[in-house]
Parts: sequence; structure tokens; C-alpha cells
Amino acid sequence: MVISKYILLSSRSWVYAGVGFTLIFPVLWLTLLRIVGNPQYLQYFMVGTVVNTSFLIPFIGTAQDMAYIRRGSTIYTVLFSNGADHWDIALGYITQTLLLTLPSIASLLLLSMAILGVRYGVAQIMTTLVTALVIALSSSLLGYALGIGVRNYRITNQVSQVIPWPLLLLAPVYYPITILPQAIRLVSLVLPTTYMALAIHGSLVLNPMELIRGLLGLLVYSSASILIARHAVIRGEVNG
Amino acid sequence: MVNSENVIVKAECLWKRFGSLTANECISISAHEGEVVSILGPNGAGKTTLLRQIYGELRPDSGVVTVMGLSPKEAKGRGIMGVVPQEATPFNLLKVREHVEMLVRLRGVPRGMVKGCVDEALEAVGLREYGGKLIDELSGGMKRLVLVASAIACRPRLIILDEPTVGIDAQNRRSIWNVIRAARDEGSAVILTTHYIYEVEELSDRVYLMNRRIIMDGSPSELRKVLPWVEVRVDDTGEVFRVGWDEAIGIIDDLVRRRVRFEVKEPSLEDVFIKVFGDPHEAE
Repeated sequence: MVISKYILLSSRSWVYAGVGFTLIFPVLWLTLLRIVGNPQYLQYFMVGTVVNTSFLIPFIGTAQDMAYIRRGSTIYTVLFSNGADHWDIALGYITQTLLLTLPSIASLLLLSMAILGVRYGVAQIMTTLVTALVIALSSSLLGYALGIGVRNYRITNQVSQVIPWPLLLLAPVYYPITILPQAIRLVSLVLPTTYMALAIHGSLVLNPMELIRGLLGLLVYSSASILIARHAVIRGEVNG
Repeated sequence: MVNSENVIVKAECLWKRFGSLTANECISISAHEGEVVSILGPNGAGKTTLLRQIYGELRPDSGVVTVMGLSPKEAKGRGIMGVVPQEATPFNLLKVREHVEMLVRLRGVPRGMVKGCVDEALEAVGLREYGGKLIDELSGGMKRLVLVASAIACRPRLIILDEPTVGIDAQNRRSIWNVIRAARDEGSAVILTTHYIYEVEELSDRVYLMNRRIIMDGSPSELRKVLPWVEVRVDDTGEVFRVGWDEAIGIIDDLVRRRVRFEVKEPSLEDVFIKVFGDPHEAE
């Protein structure tokens, strides 16, 4: 865990972007949806904003950071050759995103009550916070697998910015699945964001079955990410 | 003192291929306690590939590397190695002191010793007053010094420096040389690659010349003896005689009698390098 402290220290250089993406933009987005959105989907606006916040930055941040330190520079080699294990480095980045996401989600949940006029109890807030952390962890793992798996870091930089949008727009994140056309509903079943939205909705309405279905979906994606990352590490040791 | 008991690194017949390219062909090298070992070879000779296998970033296709009797991974886990990889960049978003401290802590140095080690390493490379500065704000040469300080802090038993003085000015290069000598004097084994051959002559106890495989090895003076000539350069006329010692004595005797100014130059390691690997200009 030594490395987590220093990775966290390095994040002070982009604190403004971090606060912007994890708090200010979500609050503005929520406010906009409150003003122009259909009031019957209020609950989904909240689900979408929490999913967006706990998915986007951990995914893009981890993918781009990993791609840069592994492929765009030799920082990864400096850390690795001087004692860090591959998983120490991964854990460092994941811890960083979790620690940065937690206060944002907590603030967002509290602010949402004022913005949307919804009411959440302590149990709902606590469950949603834990679920949001699981989503951030899962998203970090997806980002890690992308960052370490693709050799050309410029491709990772671009792909990591493109991938989130279909994942957020083709999945029932900001709206219920029932308003999606049939074909897109089928597509949404293979998207991780669908399960993130299920888990957050289940947490906010305290529906255990929905929460468990969402978390099981995330478990599948996280396991796949770990396998991809492990394969990339072994491939790197053999092929350079 | 070099003997089989104080061996720090032992690589035995390492082979490494990348597709159809063979980077290392049955390479065997060793480095002992209190020894600076340099690896010299032209670009693409497989030096960095060899080092990456020693510090465990690459798996050899066959052959074995041991560091103090352990696998590279185990040795890394016990904090035995300090490494400056080729073309390395430090973690630019940290402050200088934080970077050195991070690598010291990664090597498992007890907390109570960390501050002393960091101070000593920063002092050794002349970065003490820059400890609180963000690495991103330093010049390229100073960033290399941060890496060297991070690698040598707390004197790991094995220090691997892959071209550590690239882009560093003469004064700072001397600082790094002093750091390498101090590490050797305190018993660390240092493995060095560089394209500055005079650096190898200054620092090395043993040199391996390699081009995918080891071509020869020995101390710098042993390697220089490969070339059996001496150069007599006459200052006034610019004439150069590259002859054996017996013939050179006759020429010198004649020049002394004629009171002509001249200089005598023995082969350098660079001459050996050119002889072994060829002169690209002659090939053209």
C-alpha cells in the first residue's frame, strides 16, 4: 500500500479537474435535468448522475494514467524495478480513485435532496455510497485492463474518452429500460453501466433483489477485467 | 575482493527472443560485492533486454538469473535492488523528496531510517535544496539525478544504472560517478550501461563487451591489451605512428635525439570498442 500514498499525492496536480468532473459538473447536470427533464423520471436522473460520477472518472482516469505510466513513459518500470509489484501499482490507482470518488458521491447525494427535492434516509445514503464505491472499483478495474492491455497509449487515451458515451447513452442509466427500443434493450444487457444503474437504483429504493442483480453483473465485469489485466502482465513479461 | 561467495548477481546462459529477433544469446555474467560491472555494446546489442531480465521485468526464454541466490522477483521484494531504467522518467507530479522517499519505502526500508537515507541521497547528488520542488519543474538532467538519488538511497546491495548520465552536464556527471564509487566502496554491486566509454574506464572493475552475446570481458586494462600497439604522435608535423612497443621505442629514441615534441598514447577502451564492433565510417 506504500504506493497508494504517493499516487494520491500526485493527484493534487489535477485537483481542479477532479472537483469539476466529480462534483461541479454532476451538480450542474442534475440541476439542468431538474429544470428541463420529465418529472416522472426524477429518480432516474439521480441514478444516472451517481452512475456517471462513480463510473466516468475512475474509468477514464485509471485507463489514461495506466496507459501513460506503462506505455507513454517509464514511470511504471521505475516503480516496478524498485520493488513495486504489478498489483501494488494497480491497487495504488484504484485506491486513489476510490478515495477521490467517495466525498463527491456523498456530497452529491446530499445536494441532490436540495436540487431534486427528493428525500433519502441514512440507510439509502449509506447503501448507495457503498454501491457507488463498488462501481468506482469495477470501473477502475475496467480502466486498468484497458490501460495495461493496449500497447499504444495514444489509442487508449482516445478510446477511453469514447467508450463511456455509448455505455452511458445505450444503457438505461438516465431513464428506465422500458423507454428504450427493443433492439437497444438487448444491447444494454451486455453493458456494464446497465448493472451499475440497477445497483444504484436498488440502493436508492432499498430493493435488495435489484441491488444483488446489479452487483452480480459488476462482479462478472470486474473478474473479466482482472483476467485481461493478468494476461497483459504475463504477455508483457514474455514479449516486452 | 571477488570470489564465488560474494556474488550478488549471476546470470547463466540467458536467451531472449522477440519473434524472429534474438536479443540475447546464452549470456552469462556476474557481479560481485563491491564491484562496478559495465556492459558495453552498440545500439541494439541487447544490453537493456539483459538488464530487464536481471530486474525481473522480462522473463528469460531460457537460462537463470539469481540475485543473492534469489529470483529477481524475490530479490525485489526484499529491497535488494535500486534501479534506474533506460530513458527513465521520474514520477513528475511528486516533489523530489517524495520521489526518493517513495522508492526507499518500496524497498522496505524501516520507517525510522527513511528520512536519513533520503537526506543522504539528495546530498550525494546535489539536490538537497530542491527537495521540496515539484519534479516537473526541474531540468531534464536534474530529473535524471532524482532517479539516481532514488536508486542509490539507503545503499541497496545491487544498483542497476542503465545509461544514467545521458543528458547530464559534466559537473553532475562527476557527482554520479562519486555516488557510484561510494556505493561500490560500501559493498554494493553496480551494473552500469553507458555509451560514454571514458565513463566505463573511470568506473569499472570489469567490462563485458556484448552484441547479443558476450564477446569478451575483463578489466579495462585487460581489454586494452587486446590491441598490441602504441600511438606516437609528432606535434610539429602531425605524423602518427601506430606501431608495436619495440618499434615505438626506436621512434621515440629518434624523436628525443632530434628534440622534437611528441606524445605517446596507449590504446583506449574506445579503440578496443571500435576494433571489436567495427568503425561505421570505415564500412561506408
